[in-house]
Amino acid sequence: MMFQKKTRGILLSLIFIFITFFGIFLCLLPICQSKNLSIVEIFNYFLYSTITSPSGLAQTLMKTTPLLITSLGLCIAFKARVWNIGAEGQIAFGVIASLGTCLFLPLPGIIKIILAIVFSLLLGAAWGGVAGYLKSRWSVPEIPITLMQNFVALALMDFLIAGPWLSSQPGYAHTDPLPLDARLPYLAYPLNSSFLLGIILVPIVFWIMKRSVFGFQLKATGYNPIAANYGGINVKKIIVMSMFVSGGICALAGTSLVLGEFFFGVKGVTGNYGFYAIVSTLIARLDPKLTPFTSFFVALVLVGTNALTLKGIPGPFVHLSVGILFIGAVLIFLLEKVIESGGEKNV
Amino acid sequence: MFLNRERYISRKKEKRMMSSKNAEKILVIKGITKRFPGVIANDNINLEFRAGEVHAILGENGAGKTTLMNILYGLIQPDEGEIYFKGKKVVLKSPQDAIKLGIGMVHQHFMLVPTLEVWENVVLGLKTKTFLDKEKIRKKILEISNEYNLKIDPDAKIWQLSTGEKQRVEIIKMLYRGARVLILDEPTSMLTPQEVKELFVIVKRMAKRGLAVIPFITHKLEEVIQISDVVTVLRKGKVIGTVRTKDTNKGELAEMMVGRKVLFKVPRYRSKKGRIVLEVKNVSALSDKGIQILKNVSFSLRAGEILGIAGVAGNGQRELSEVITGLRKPTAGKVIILGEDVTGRDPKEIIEMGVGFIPEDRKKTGLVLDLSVAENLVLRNHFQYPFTKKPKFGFGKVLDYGEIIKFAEKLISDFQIITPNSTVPVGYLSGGNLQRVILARELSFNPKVLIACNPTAGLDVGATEFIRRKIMEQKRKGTGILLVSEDLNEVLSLSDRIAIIFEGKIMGTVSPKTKIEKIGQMMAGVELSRVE
Repeated sequence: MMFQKKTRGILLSLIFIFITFFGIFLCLLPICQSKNLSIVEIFNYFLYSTITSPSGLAQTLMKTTPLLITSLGLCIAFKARVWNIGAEGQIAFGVIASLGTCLFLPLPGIIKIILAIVFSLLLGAAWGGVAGYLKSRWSVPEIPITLMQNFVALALMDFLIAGPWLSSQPGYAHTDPLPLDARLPYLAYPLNSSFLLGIILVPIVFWIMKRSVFGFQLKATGYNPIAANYGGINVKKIIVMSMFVSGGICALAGTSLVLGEFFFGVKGVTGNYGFYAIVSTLIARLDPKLTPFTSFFVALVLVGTNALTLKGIPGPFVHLSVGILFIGAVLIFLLEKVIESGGEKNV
Repeated sequence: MFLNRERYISRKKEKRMMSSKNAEKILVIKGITKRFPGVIANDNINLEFRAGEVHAILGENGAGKTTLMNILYGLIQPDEGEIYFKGKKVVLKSPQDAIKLGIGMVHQHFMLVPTLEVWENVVLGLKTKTFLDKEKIRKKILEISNEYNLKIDPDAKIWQLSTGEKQRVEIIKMLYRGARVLILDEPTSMLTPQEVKELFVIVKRMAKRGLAVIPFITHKLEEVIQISDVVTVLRKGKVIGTVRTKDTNKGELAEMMVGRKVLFKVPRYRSKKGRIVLEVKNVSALSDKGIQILKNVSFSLRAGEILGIAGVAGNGQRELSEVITGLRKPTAGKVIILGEDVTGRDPKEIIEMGVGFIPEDRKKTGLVLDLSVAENLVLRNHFQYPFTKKPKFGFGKVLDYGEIIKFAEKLISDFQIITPNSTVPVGYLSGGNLQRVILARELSFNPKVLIACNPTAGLDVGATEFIRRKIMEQKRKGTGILLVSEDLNEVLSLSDRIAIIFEGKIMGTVSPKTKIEKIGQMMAGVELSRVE
């Protein structure tokens, strides 16, 4: 044991941030040289567009919102060692539920907002629960199931947006905009109050995981299902429940995207947050307390590299940095495994 | 009849001098020692393997067989000691080195590619030219197959073959590479009785042709007697003795395997025997491999009584405890706990009836290593009062960590668990303390029935004694205890009655005062009625 587990975790997260920035720097260097740009200026602009300017910070926090909500959802499933790769699809169901509620229900605005949240939770939970049920009933591996569920959910969402829910105005490939009373208010443009939804969820998820009986059973199931079963925990039920709760929370990210960012439905509204959130969840080491910070960091890389395209850096560089994020996360886990297995021999 | 190591060795020397056939010592190991953190897996092992001999290595799980086998095959390197092959000192750094010399090994689980044909599997991994000369390979395979009576179709696909045939392919693979020493890891464990017979013919043929065959066998004494010329028994990493097979018998081998040194005595308590708390009626069950491992097992256990199940490891003890705790479904028979038929119920339901369980594998089944000591201590009743409370707001149940830690600290002092505090992950504790945590948890709710499987396996003397004392105290409190143990000494010193199990059958139930020779005979498969 090199350090206490917690200190080690925070240290590893710092190493991850360093690796990511270093990787991005290394890739930027030749691009800057070939385009005669100053690397210092580019780096300053990266910071300006993400943290150092108020509008940049607001932009980053806006992007943090769906990442944060999704990460919190993933924490729950991952803690039970159920690898929910289906957050993207669950977000899509959140989008469907929110759009359906806010566009078509003739109700006052605040009730529509509340109903959108409730319906998103339920739809996402049901969609996630499918994979959980298959896993616990017939031991169907959840990774391929949740992964494939994404495509089904996204296809359904795209169909609704481009089909029955398509705007009546010609020339638009999206739905009608939401009525003004069903939109969440801005805190500071472009930061929406949906950010607060994410922040409120942090202590709730923390409480579920650290204090509730369900959280304890979740932990025990994840660490050692055999012993948990002997200890009188219904492991099968816990696996279904973990996907149920996880799917529900992930779907709220869809609600926040519709009610707090886009205000209408369009293809690609889910924005791959379901996949980026895997990185922020793993780097937070499934600790809900840390997810705001890791989500913020992932959002920072996304916003920053996007902004660099305005300075002449080619567009695909965004994808490159996402790749660096993922590689960094994998490296960290290799490093951790090496530290953990240090000195022990497998016989 | 006290058997000790020296006597076996002297007897062996005597035999060797008398033996006119002075076969070549093909493989000699001297002073092999291998340590792993906390255990000596092999302790100064000296052995000689002769060409033309079948030399079986017999020992229970944890006796050091696997380590020795891996050393001979170059998978691990010994800390001390030397290996001589045909009189020359060799260093085996990898299985490639071993194969090059002519030491081959057939694993218990076959290493074959199911979609390829037999001949392709045989040459797989050999250095060849760009193209394989199929005809030449086939001819050589057929030659080997004729010479050793290894019937096989070289063009069949592996997935089409039976287990016995797959094993033959593995043997051919080794002979094709020119093996002169052949290590067989549990060669009969996956085979049907008919296939076992065929294998024995092949093994004898190989020995006749001058190979040294070394089967490693855990507990099948009958097979050892049938197949081998020489037997070496290992226990706790040491060679207990090497004997000529024709000079020994099953009872003697069983005694050598389990040992009989009495370390210390636990004070016995007399207690009033109460009603029957556990009844097993005509239970039969299959092993993981689908072989019938329990055959019509019946016994009953009363409150305030310890019933020991003795036997050489692997005779169905594990499966029996699994059937009782609901992990394994019996194919026939009934399990009745506290008057209720619990056959086929979930482990969770059975445990909730007040059955305590000390599993064989404390790390895998008994504890959640990443959870804290306190959390593990309440694992069984974390969802009950007083460990849960209503939250101040919201709904559901929350854990009351204050109560949990109070409870844990009491158990930690009662059971003398050595831990920095109650909130460290239980995985940081040593083996003896892990077992104390399990025992504390299982006894904390005063179970009506306690099933203990090898409760002191791998523990030091202090922890062993403590745990045996606690089990004895629990008996006085009126718990019916089923003690399933491979340690005969433990069963003898704790039990009120002893049931001896052999190949899944109960050979008889005797009192612990019965002569050890009798119990030894029963452990080797002689029924009580026929014991002299």
